[in-house]
Amino acid sequence: MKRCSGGSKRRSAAPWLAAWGLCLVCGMISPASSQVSDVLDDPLALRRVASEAPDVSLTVHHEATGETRMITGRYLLQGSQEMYLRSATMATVLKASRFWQSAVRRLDLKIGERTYRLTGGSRLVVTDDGEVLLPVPVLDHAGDLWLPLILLEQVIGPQIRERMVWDQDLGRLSLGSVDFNINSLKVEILGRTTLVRIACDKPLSYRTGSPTRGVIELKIYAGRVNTAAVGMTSRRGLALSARSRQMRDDVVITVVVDDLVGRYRTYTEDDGAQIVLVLEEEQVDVMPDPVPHGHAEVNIDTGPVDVTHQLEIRTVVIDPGHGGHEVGAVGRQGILEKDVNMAVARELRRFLERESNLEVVLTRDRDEYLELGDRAEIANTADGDLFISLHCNSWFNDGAHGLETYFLSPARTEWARNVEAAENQAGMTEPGDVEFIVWELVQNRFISSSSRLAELVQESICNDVDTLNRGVRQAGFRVLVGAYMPAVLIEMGFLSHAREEQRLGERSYQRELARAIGRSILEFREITASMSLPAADGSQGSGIQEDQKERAR
Amino acid sequence: MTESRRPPLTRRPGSIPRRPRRRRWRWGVALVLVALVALAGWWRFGRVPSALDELGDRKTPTGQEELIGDRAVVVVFPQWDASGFVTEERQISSRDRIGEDLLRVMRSLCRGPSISGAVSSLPPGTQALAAFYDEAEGSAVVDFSKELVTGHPGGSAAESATLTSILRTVALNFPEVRSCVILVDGGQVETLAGHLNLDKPFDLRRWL
Repeated sequence: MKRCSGGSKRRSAAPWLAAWGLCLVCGMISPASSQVSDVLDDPLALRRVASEAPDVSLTVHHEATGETRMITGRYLLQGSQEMYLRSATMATVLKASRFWQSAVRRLDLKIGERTYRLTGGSRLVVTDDGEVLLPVPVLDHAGDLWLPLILLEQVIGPQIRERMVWDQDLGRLSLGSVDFNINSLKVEILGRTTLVRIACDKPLSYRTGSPTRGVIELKIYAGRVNTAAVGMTSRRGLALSARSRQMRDDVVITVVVDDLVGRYRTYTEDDGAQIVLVLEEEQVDVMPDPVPHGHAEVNIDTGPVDVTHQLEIRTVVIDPGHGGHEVGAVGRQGILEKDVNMAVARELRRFLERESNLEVVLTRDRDEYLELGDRAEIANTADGDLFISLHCNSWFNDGAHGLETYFLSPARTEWARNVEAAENQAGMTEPGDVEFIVWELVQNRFISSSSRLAELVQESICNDVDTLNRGVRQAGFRVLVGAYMPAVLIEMGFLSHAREEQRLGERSYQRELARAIGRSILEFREITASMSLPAADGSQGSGIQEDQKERAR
Repeated sequence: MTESRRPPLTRRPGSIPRRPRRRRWRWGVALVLVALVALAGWWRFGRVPSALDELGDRKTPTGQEELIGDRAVVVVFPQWDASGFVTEERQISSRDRIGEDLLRVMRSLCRGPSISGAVSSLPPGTQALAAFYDEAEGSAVVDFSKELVTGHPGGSAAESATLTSILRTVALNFPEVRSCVILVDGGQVETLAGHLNLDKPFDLRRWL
């Protein structure tokens, strides 16, 4: 009986097993088998899904960029306050790639070089550093895998060394840390001299100035400041207080100083990564002995401080952009950029020759094509002291208008150094490349004065002419690279904007622009002339400039 | 027990023969088998694919299995009034090969923005033709069609925006890429619109 009964059971099970085997062979139900094994890992996982859980909005804040955006998640695990995101949402937040292996229902989330293997219903996460058991499972729901935020906080964040914090009360997920490059401000007292040391991650271009008595401002280009760490509220030596502000692209550090401060200067240490502001009393007996790197030394009442005090403006080179077959931007009414540039350049020459004894040189005085490198070369050959490149702007639609002034981006120069280093390593000695890099490095010496000139030009035009002030900007413009003098590029307006195109084509407006530019050049000359003080080594500024030019040649 | 309950094999004349119960079991098994096969067939071919099943493994022309996934990327566009840049999130299919992903991202950039307030920074008709990545050097090359130059409106704002869109998109999505060369129709050009040099590799860290 028992045997027969057993035989009957075997017979009745055989077709099921056969069917199961058939389907397994076909590979058709392996997903289910995988799910079964996961359920065995965590038997309650699938039952815990709160399938009716509503979408909840949460904020994702990227600390580095300041960007904030909304995403949705769900409290998908019954009896749990763990927030879950769809795998697609999680991938978007992390800028990750997703790879789905349907046979094993496994999701590979790839972030940079790291891979995280996740399976629906399982708490196990396989990472490159080993296996991690999450306190809650990954859930398989509504055709997607749902990943708990704790995966970000406790696994992915630490492994990719990025801070990821989920604030449930605020419904806010904070990602990353701010990538500061200006990190601290320290004060050192040396007798009657106070040193304000500003630590940066790398060499950054800067300019100092004194907008009002008792206040010194450092503008650091392309800086990103940790405002909490760069500043001081109580007096230390001759520095009464300091605070830092993050502007759009740059950083301004304002130092309030004691009335006793008679003069100040700046220099850099650590290969340019530390900017040192030296505050000195009127009568200084003991001076620190810093290594000067294009430092400036002036009386505090004299206003802006930079290397411009070493310049004497005698020759101005005006560069009407484009020319010949290269017409530049074309307005909708057919006005050509090269023509506007030429007209304003001639008006500017007329103005400067009438209002000053400056020598004026045009890189082109007729409609001809010049290579970008040739324009700076003409300026250098003419012994120019200022290089003004005139251009008109254009945009993809008529939404942009206004005027902006550019000076050479210091970042470009840093890139050049990298290229130079790479080429030296590789033994590349292509003459054109080396020449390009050398000139770019040379122009870097004038970034401070170029930025000052750009600000004066922008301010002057926007005061005198009715146009939108789009500000002073930096870019690696090729035409500015080869000039061994302060150099700016003025974008006088947008030919893609109907009203501006019309105005740029009018003679009266061209004259108005030329006069405003001319006045800023004369103002710049006055500033530099009034600051032509002996430099630290006792030599005259103009002598240094000539000497530098000679060395550059 | 079971056998004892079975009817005798002999039957009365005119009576309908009764089917043995064993045959019913066979039919049942067959029905179950058919149902299972139908279920499995539905699973594979009939059901609506889930979001994840749209990813997954595919066969290459040579018959090898390879993973095809998707990749969350961002593409950078200038704002319509040239006042700044915005990013748009997109997804591309991916085989986890940087060169291929780079080309897909550039093609996505060429399609222009779908968010309001942004404009395409590439002239109409511009296509991404090819992209390469040199892992040893950490350098990438992106090749665009000639419309990038011939259709460009000019002006330093537009020229800067075009380069920023391309280079920042590369930098944001491919941190392993350190420098990038932009080619036009397979060759180097000195400049797009007469302001910025294109004949040197760009250091991507400077374009973030």
